[in-house]
Amino acid sequence: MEILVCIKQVLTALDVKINPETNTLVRQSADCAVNPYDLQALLLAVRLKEECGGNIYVLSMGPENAEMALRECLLKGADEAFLLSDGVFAGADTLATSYTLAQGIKKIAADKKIPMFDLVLCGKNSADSDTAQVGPQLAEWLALPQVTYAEDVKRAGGGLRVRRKLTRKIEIAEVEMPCLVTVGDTGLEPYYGTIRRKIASLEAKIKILSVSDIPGFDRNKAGLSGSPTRTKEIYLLQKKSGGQRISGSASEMVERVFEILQDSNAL
Amino acid sequence: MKNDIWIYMEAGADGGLPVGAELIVPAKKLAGYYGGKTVAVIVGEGAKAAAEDAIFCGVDEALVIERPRKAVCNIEADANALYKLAQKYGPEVILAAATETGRDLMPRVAAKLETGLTSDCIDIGIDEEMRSVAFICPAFSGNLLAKIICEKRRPQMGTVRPGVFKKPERDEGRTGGIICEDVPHDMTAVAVKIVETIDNPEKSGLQIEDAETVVAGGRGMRSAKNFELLIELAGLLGGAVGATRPVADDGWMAQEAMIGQTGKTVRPALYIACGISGAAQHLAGIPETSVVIAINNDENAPIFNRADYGIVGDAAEILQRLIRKIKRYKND
Repeated sequence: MEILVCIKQVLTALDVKINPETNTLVRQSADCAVNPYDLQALLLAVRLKEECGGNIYVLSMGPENAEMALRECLLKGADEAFLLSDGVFAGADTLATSYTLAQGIKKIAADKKIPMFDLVLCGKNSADSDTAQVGPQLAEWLALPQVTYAEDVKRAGGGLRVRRKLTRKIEIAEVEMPCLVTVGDTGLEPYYGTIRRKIASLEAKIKILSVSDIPGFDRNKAGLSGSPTRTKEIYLLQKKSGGQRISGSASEMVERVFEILQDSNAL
Repeated sequence: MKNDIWIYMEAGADGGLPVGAELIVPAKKLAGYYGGKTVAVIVGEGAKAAAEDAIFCGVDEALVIERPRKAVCNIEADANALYKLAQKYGPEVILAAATETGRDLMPRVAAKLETGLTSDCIDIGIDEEMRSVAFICPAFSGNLLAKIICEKRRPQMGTVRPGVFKKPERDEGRTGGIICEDVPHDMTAVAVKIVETIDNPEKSGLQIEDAETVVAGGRGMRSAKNFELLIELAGLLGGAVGATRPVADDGWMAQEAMIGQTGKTVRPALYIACGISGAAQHLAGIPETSVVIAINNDENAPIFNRADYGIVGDAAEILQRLIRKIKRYKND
């Protein structure tokens, strides 16, 4: 199976700081990692490769330091890594991001002399933007059927059998290939790689794709120009200061809580 | 139809309100601003019946495509239908509930229309300066809120987290037009088939999203056993039990009880937070309007910034006493 996994390098710092002048996040490279659900997608890809053979390619769109995330994926099972990096791609919302990724995927497939990958995988959402839009939008640009919220993917006949974890139920879906699947928690054992893989991952050549590498790329559909949405404002959740402190002995405090419950008709 | 505000709805389960009906309230606000109508758009089996319900809930009009539901995943067919309708009528805004279906379908439609979509909003307003809808959504695992606008392209699309807005009242006296449309789609070419569905066995009793009172616990409850106190208190108050993420991950409570950015959004009148530190990701699941009583051992816990009433103490101990008191009161 030829599998392509889209990954995103995300901010992981729980202590979020905002630049008060520009209303943007203060990003430091020390706080970056591969989006957790993308790693889950990679784990599934590795298992599928063990069962069916084939190759795993990873692709990311980002600044040059996103190479770190891609090397981590090479360590953890990917065979080849690609980075879409160009000033034109910057400032992209989900529509522009998914367009750019789609063009990158088509280009890599063409170079591999295949019409399309059998399976395109991504995490169900990213830890920083949380939109969960890129997967379905990527499927739309590539004209692929999609199955989301996967916790397990297996070969079944000529297609795939996907176990979806939804809020109120589990759904088993069968999908033809080529297709796109977004992945949540798989429950698979994490794979840390080997020393040999680590050395190989540090030495590997990551192919950088810029606009000029992709014939027919429409600049108007990428980056800021290709983004119909923009963030006008970003702010920390409202913090109320105070409220009433109830004090006293345990029984006094309980008495007061009881009164509050009575007053709010909760009893 | 140019200034109209569309709500993509789905026929509700067991003849209940259509999914997405709660978006009628924010839709009306937008319709007032743009000088248009609110329109329910429903595709699928039972669309016409759901449209009648939508009218009783207050939409001005409904657009329906009645289609039999087969054991296939209809996302591509439904996305194509909404896309064709949007091309034909040119609405100003399309809203949908951020259910799994909404989150699968709306991004594809937005990509087809090459317009902007903002997902999982917790509020919808108007940005007067940009003359656009202001979509407010959480970002960064719930640590931040972002105001997103779709300045130039139309329709402006957004999905809204279920539970943020109140379900509307049904009034069978309301009237409105129902337009039947048809968008043919080759259903034999559908690539995704659903072969099995396993209902969540834990789903029973009061749904946490509907509870007026929620009693929730975090690590400060100290043990899984202490959660029995929460269950008992919730029972006495006729409410539901919730949990924070760390506690759900450790299996002290079911994942379904988890409240927060990556879990459920609740809208109780009263929220009792026991042994919960008050991390932003958890608070993202509770609206500003809920009255919060917090019990925590640590006087510096951030929950006290949010709580209307704060108690510094051991949650398990306080709960034990409170339960005794309530039981005595109820027996009198």
